[in-house]
Amino acid sequence: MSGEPVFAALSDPTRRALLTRLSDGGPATATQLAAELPITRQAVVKHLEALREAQLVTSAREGREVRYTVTPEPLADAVGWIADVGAQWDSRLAALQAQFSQPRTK
Amino acid sequence: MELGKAGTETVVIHSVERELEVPGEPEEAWEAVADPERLGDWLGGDVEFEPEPGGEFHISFDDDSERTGFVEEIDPDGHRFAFWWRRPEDEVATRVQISLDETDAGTLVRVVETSPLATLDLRGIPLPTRRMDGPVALAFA
Repeated sequence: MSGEPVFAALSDPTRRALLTRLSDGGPATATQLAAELPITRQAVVKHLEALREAQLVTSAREGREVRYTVTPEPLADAVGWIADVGAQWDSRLAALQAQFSQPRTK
Repeated sequence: MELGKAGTETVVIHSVERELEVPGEPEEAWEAVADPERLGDWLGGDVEFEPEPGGEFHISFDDDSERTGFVEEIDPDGHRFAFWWRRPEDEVATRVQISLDETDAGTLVRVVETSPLATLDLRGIPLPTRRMDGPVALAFA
């Protein structure tokens, strides 16, 4: 399991928006995405690179542009599930930890 | 996350794993995990279950949502507890396994939640709806 880069990549709302756009609207270049979203092309490229490192999108050069494609949508669904369920267990285990630290404060 | 082929379907196995180290020996920590009242304290709701394989499991969360399921395994000596649960609106149940293991500093609590029946068809063919009997049948096959 290489969960960490995925969680880091999904922790940012802009990256989640980019992933949703690529998932719903199909492959796009950074220029196209920058035209659709309220962020600069440079910012789009930076976020796409983070998504690519987390293997949530793949990139392919087309002439002078790079086209980004979300990895098969079920994987993106799974990633969303993992992020949700992971966050739930994070808070539950924090509650468990609190139970243990309360009676025995060091 | 794993991908496997099951007939014409592509099965996506979702899995989340978390660990927490707590003070004390597994025997002590086990109480916090397996006692329904204390389990509910950290899961964030009221928990009721029959502590035997196949026993019903129910939790009412503090936000009024709930999940139902069943106990797959509860082993006080081996410090293993596995149950399945699903929200009323979910088509599939997920499996939660909680295990305790002794460490130098105390006890390592490991939680793994998996949804092995989350089936997604990459070919766009609608899948039959899966109900609670799916996971139950799988777990006891």
